[in-house]
Amino acid sequence: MIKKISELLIIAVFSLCLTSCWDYEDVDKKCITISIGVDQVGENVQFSGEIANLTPSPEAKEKAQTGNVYRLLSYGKTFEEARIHYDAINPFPVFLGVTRVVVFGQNFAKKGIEPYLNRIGHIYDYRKTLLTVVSRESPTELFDTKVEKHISVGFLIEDIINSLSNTGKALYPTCGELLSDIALEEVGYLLPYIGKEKGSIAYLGLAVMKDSKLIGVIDIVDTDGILYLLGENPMLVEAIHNPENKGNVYSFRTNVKKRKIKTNYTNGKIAINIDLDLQAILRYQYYSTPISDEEIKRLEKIISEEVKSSIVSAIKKAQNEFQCDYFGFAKYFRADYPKVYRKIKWEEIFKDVDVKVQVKTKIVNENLVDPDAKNKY
Amino acid sequence: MNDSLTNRQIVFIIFGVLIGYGIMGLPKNVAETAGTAGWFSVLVATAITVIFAYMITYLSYVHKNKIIYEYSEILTGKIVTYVFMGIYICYYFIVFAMLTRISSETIKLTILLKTPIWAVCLFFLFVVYYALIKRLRVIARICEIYGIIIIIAAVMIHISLFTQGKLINIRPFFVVEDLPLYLKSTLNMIFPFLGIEILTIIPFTKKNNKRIFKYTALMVMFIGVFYIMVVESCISVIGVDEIVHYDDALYATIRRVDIPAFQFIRRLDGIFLIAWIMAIFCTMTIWAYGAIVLLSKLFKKVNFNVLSFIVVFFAFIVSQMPTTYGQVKKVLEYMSYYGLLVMGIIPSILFFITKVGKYDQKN
Repeated sequence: MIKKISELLIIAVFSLCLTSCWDYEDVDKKCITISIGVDQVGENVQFSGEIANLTPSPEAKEKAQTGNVYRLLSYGKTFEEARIHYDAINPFPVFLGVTRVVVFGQNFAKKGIEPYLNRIGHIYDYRKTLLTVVSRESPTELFDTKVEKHISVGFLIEDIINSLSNTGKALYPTCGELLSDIALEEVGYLLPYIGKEKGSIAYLGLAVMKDSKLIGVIDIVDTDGILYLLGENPMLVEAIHNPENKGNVYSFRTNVKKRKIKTNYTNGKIAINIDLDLQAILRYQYYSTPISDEEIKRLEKIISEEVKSSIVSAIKKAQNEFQCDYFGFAKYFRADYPKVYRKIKWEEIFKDVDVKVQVKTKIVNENLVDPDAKNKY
Repeated sequence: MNDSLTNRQIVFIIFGVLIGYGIMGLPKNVAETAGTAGWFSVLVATAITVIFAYMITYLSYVHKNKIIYEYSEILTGKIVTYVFMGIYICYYFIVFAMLTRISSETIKLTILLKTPIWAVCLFFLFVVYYALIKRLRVIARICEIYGIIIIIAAVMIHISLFTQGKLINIRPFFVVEDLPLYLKSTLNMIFPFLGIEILTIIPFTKKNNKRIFKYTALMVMFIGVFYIMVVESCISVIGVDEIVHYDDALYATIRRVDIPAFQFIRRLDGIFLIAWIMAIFCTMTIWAYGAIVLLSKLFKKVNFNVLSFIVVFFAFIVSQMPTTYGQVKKVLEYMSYYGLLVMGIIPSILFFITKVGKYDQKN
């Protein structure tokens, strides 16, 4: 009998032992950090952010609108000093496994965020898929914003960027991707730029990072060209004015069907050829007018021209204003000409690279509207 | 002793012994030595390993119902056999002990941050000991079941990684001018295939027909393709420039990925760790079995279970000897050079003696 159940007994004993192994810690004995803000204030690095409040105070229970988070604030000359201060004021050890977003203040971003990204990359707790953003206001001010529809500012920021990126209107760079770009050395990268607009938190555009330092900002209205090249599934809206009837506007939703980036190296000259196949859907017209097949072809051409011009202008900006390859063209050139790439300094050459863009658009449907309807009676 | 195995069990033993700790740092090693064209080096290494696998399978196939101890005695005499056995026993034992330690170190550094190394080692060794006393057929069955689970989990994980990776990260696929570099790095790529020599301690019976050659070769090729899948999926996510910084490149890659469509398993590291622990458990058990079975040939009067206990007990002591992770890594590095001797040189000697002495025709 004992022999028969001995194996079951061993399993049971081991299971019991495992429930209290060294790494066990009760969830309410941890400071579960939702968001982290990193900024430079004077000579000090300042950590701010939000911690999930698992045991709400009696007052919090009474106020239905109060979020279940409390703020954190600590500072020090280095990350380690700031952490010592942080540990000194908090009752429980910090847990970063569910952190949703890291917000870099402008001052810190200008100084360089690479050390903190490396910290995220190597500290076990942190998820490497963590969202990183740059904030116009200081993170402390951002986290003090009263949010009505979310339990915390961190969740709100992540949800805004996530929903925009799912619909192809923003980039969602994770910490891991940034570390890969940093390792390549020759390229820059873009981070979502956020701030406070009329009391609420808003996505404002893209922060340009060169050598992991903030060197400029691209306004949200100028980001289309970038999204066509870098977005996962860019889905943008193009409003085309009818040249014959200025008051009428065709609103199209475009998405990228095919994106091909090839590089060329002849006689010491580097060229980048970008081919983009777009699909467009007519959402509506401001004033309904019939559209013939010729008109559709003309509209396809206009959309192509407009998209091409937004891409060209985005690349020119990168080459002339920022002198930084945040599109990652270096990877394409290295893949096509690995031998040449080893000999050149891409960072210096990038500004003189010749870029050719070709966009083809096909209007695939008109949203169940017959655009060429005629009265036959 | 009824230790005969079916052809399928034998190939899964190969899978069990090869896919283990080495897979963790494989993408880093490949990227470091041959960049994005590392797949080519793995392919060449696979071809070389297929030749070794053929030789070792041939030895067991020709000398039916015998393991290396017995046929080596016939081919080379007693003294040389004792030397060979000494080499093999030391090799299996040290690798077993060090694998236990380095796997525990990795587990401590990744998930069980506060658990002492000795506790993780001890836990592993308990389970390994339990499997060992059930002998080869049970170990082979475990390898079969775990092997299938590992393959399914790995295919799922790596296809998911490919969906998150970027094609541009794995280009250029091949640079003709770098061919000498790729061939040079092939030597490094042979190390992940160490373990194939385990076939020398598996007795073949009449049940193991000629198809076993095809099976072992196909399994080695499959493992080569498996390795390429692992390497390419990891590089496609992290990129060749960054992956070289991670000793645990595979785990680091998996932690970089988050697939919302998978809902509650959106983070793949949980599934990966389960499959990986299964894989290292198979590897450790087979390696320990190698040492014990050869010792049991030398000490015929000692009970197999007692020998198993002694080996596992000393493995625990030896596994605690290195003080740092770096030291364990260094020992395993030396052992991989030692491995070339037991995987390539000794079987080659025995193979040529068999051929020259026409033992294959006598049997």
